[in-house]
Amino acid sequence: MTMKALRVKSMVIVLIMAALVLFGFPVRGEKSHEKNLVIYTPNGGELTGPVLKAFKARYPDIDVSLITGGTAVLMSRIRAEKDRPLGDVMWGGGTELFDANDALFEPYKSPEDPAFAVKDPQSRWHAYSVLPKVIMVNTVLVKPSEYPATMKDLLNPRWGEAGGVALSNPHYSGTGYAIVTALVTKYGWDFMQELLVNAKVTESSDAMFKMVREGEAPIGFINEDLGAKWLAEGAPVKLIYPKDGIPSEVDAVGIIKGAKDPKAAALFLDFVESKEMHELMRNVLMRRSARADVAPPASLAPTSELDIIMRDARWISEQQDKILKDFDIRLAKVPGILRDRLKKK
Amino acid sequence: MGDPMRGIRQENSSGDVHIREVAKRFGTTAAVNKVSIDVQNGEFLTFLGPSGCGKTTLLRMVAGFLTPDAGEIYFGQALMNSVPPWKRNVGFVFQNYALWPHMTAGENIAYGLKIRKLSRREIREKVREVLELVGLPDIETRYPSQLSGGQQQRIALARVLVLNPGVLLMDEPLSNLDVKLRGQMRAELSRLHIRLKTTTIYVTHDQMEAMTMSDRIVVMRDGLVQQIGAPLEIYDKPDNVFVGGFIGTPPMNFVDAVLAKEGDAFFVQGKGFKLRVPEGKFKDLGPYLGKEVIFGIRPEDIIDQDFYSGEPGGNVITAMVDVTEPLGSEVLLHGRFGEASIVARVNPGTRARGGEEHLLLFNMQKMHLFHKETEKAIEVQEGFTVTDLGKVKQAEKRGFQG
Amino acid sequence: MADSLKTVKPTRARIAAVIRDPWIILSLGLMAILLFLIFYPQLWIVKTSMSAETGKSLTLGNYGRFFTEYRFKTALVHSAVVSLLSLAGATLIAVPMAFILARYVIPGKQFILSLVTMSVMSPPFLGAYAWVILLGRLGILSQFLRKIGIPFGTIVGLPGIVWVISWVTYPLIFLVTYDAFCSLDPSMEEAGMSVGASRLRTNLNITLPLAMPGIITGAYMAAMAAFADFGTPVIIGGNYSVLPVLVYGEFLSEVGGSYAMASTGSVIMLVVSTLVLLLQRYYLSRREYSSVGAVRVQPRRLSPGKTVLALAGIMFVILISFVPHITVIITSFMKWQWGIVKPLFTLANYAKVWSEASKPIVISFFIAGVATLLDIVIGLFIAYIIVKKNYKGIAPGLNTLVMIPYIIPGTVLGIGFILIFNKPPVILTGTWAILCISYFVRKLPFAVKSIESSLYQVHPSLEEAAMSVGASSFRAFRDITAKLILQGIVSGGTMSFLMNITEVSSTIILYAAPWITMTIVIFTNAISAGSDFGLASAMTVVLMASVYIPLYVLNRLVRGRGGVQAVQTT
Repeated sequence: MTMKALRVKSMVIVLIMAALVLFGFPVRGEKSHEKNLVIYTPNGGELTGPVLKAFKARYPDIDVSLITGGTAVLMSRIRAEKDRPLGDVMWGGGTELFDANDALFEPYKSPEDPAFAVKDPQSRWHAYSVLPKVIMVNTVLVKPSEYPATMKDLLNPRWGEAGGVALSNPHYSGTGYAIVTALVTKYGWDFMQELLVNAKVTESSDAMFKMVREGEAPIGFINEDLGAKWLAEGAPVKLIYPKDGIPSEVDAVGIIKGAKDPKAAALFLDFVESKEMHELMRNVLMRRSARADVAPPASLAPTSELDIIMRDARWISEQQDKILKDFDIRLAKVPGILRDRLKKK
Repeated sequence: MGDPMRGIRQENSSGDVHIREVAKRFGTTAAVNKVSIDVQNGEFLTFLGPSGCGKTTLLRMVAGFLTPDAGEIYFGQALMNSVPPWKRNVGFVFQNYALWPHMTAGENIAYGLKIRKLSRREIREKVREVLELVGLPDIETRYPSQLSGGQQQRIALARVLVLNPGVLLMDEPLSNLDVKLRGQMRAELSRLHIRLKTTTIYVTHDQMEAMTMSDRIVVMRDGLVQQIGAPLEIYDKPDNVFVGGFIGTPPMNFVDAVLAKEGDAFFVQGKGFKLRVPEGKFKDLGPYLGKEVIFGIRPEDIIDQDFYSGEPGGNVITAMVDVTEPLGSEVLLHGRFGEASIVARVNPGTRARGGEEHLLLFNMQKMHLFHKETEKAIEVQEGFTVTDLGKVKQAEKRGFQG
Repeated sequence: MADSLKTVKPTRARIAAVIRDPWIILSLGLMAILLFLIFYPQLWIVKTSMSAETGKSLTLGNYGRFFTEYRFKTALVHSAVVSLLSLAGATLIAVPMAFILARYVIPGKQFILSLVTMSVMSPPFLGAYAWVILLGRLGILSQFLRKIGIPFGTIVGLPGIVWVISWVTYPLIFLVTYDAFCSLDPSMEEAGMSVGASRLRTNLNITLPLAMPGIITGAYMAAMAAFADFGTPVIIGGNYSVLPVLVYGEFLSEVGGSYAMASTGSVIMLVVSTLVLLLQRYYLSRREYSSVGAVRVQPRRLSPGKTVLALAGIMFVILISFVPHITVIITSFMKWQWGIVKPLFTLANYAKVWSEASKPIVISFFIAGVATLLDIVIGLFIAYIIVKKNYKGIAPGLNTLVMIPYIIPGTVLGIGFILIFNKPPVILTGTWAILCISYFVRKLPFAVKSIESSLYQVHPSLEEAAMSVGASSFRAFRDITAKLILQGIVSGGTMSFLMNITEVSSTIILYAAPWITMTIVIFTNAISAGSDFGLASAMTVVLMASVYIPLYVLNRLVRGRGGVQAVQTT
């Protein structure tokens, strides 16, 4: 009798194991709350904290869960979940990324739309903040007399010898893509080739920012708001607004197509795009609002004084593969060019 | 109530074991090759052979740890092939004792009883009984690591004896013990067997164990049975060259020879020797006449001529002595004649010295003859009796010692 | 002769025997599960790597791209360079130290050994970040060096990656090599000296080659760890791109990434690690000396002067390997704002861990715990089948299958899981289960191998003895083997748990809110330029505590259990 019992027991164990591994784990999102809002955002706690607190105060019956992560991670998750969306709102991410993934977002007319200068003709994304990319120098490594004034000054071979111009690879970094497309728009690919000879190409924008702050590169690009924050905290950096034009990105908010709770999603979008919340965002992040009626942070120059390089939205979204390929070709040429230069010396 | 087999279906009640054409292979090598053996109830049977001969494999098939590829194993009338080990009611004693290190000696012994769901009191009683049987009444609470090798061996034995197994299987149980202890345990195992009369199959490569303990011995080699018989029968009448050479220390001498005939007498003849075959020893030597044979003789059947006081005459050869090994009670003499090397066990007073020639007498009454190709023994005449070779001169033996 | 032995067992009896044996059914079940979890995702990666951007036909075009395009080519070369140099570095640290500790009387040997064991479990990112702070261009030590006249530039870039990985991986080589040096049969060396070789020559010509299989085994683990490391190059690599980072970027790019290219990179990584494994196996198969003696080498005494020297060297190594730990403890008490550190002592970081990130601690323990439990239970069954059951095809099949995760870089495993679990029949993306299964699969080889080795220590006759006194095979396993290997299971399980709780490279691909683990909190806060590194430091300290306290307890437990001799070897 014992044998039989043991055999049965062992079978049961196997079955439980198999079931556990394959089916038993509770799958998140199956139980749906009537008022349950899932927000995907690359923004940090310093912004999401106060915004959600205010939202909660306004709509106490909506449960909000926050899913934070890198813009790319979140966007690929939305892409992966497109047949079975688990999120409702994407709060943050460049407009180009929204354009490239426009099938993933639901058009929505927000009452706040008229306040914005930049708009999606299809109303899939709604502008949030403006992120100019300026030049940042490390003041420990660079003397004030050597500060560049223009983008063109970055081509001076001196920068290459001093450690390179930090630039994030447009393949992996939206910031890098914005910078590269802007510079190519303004000066063409030959300029880019020259810049790459001087550059230190990083795999992420974070690496680019940190490189300059930590002195691994004397100079590079930075999102204006983060640069301003670092300045305020006393980091050894200086921001330079190049006179010959500034690359810029606009980030946005959008409702995910097939959202479980589109009503709550719309409520949140209207809320986060309100003037009040934009002022909060400006104060917390030191970031320029995309709303025409919200002034930039006090320490930053007025938006009207910035010479933003305007890019062709269709070119940057439709020709993306070609642009990246052109970039690669030029990057690959760099070792050869450097070798030739050494020979000439 | 006290039935130790309660809770377990007993598949064998009689103690006889029948192995029928059993074969087992590992990969491409046949470990056991169609072996048939009948083990009688109450018998002490030994599988003897060099390592790799298949004896342990065969034993493990009897125990049920291995399943035969072909053939059948019966306990009494019952076919055992697909019966798992735990239903065979065999007791297995392992070479390394296989005591469970996390249980005390007592718990080791009690484990099988516990499985049989005996009451605690019964278990305690039986454990005490069997510990007395193996002569270790006071070590119940000790762990195996606190016991000596001999004690561990006895506990391992007690562990199976307490269950009163139908068949006791022992796999080289004494080989991990030192020489002195081995001798003791040998005697003790024999005593136990006489007392309990449990059918026992014993595996060993040690011919001394086999000779002293067994009722019968199965000599094995390369997965095949070479000979089955009582110890002395195997010693005196080896069926083939292998058995002759395997049993006895030092082993039997083998010399290549040709069978010749002069008048009525047969001779084994080779380079530098010509020895007469005793009349009537072999059944029919006619077919072998003029053919090559293997002539075998045990070292103790070669005698130092100096110590022989009987009839002078034939069967003496002059050997070149290579080296002598005095062992106290005897001397092993390594010598050569013609192309043959031999070992003789001679009187300790021998004058033979390495590098010198010496006369050796062959006791041809005890000679063996083997077929050259098959290495099988040439059949001995039924009823042939070995006559006394004569007296060794005691006086001279003393004289040489001076 | 061989044919005459052919079995003529009726098939029906055979099938009946199979069905009667529960282990066979279990084996087949496990095989199916492992095939699905280990083999199938890799198959999908291969398939994805061969998918064209348009159309459904399979193509090798992505491989063409990989080997012609600049950024892929360089990353591959860089990865090879990183692996080889780090391996050299780690070996240079580990082997001499192992030799000295194994062969000479060194005071505090046990303490040193436990410190080295501790440093195996170095929490992720930690090393890299600490060394940036110390030896970056504007690092504390770099500035000091320049002040005293040494023209030190920066460690960031290739030197940094190699330096950090060497210090993280040397314990892997050390522990194996130390064992090898300890267990060499001393008579081998005595024989060397007796034929006139000096002690140095003996060491070089006899000891070192004999210990080589051990060194190579450790070296393989170290090289693979270096090859698959994601965290270190991300933090300290500067613009030196390596394959895992590139594949991660390609998979989760904001701009032009593609699953196809990420999968192609993954396949390349898989191929490289498989080749290296085969190379290692080939090497080992050709020199299986098994010269392990029963007699352990008696450590020799050194003169007091030399002892001090050796101790100083060892202390230096230990100190360097704990520099990251010390640094992170210090930084966890500093004030950070927007990624900028302030020279202010504060407990705010810990307060923040408590208020904002206490959930990840629970989640980490939960997921790692469940995964470990699975590792132990399934690992136990698999190890048992591999060691004790000679099922044709199944046992060796399981053995091979279970070792595959060993060569799958975490990033690749993560990508494979995403590819198969983001669609029916089993959708697991975004759940905790996918992390759990990934941890389970990643550490299964370790669990199986550690249980396997304790099983090998349990002589088969122990179980047979139980069967011969009437215990069924299951009961014999339960009463004898399982009890005897308990200690092995506990230590194997603890190690699996610790590795699970510090896992990064597949977690970053697979994690999804709200299932944020401690490592993700550290990762996101350490990597993003403007975020709170103080929180990352404090969380790292918590993680260190979660790792080292169980390790310490385990050490005490194992040592305290010397009473009963747990294994019997013959």
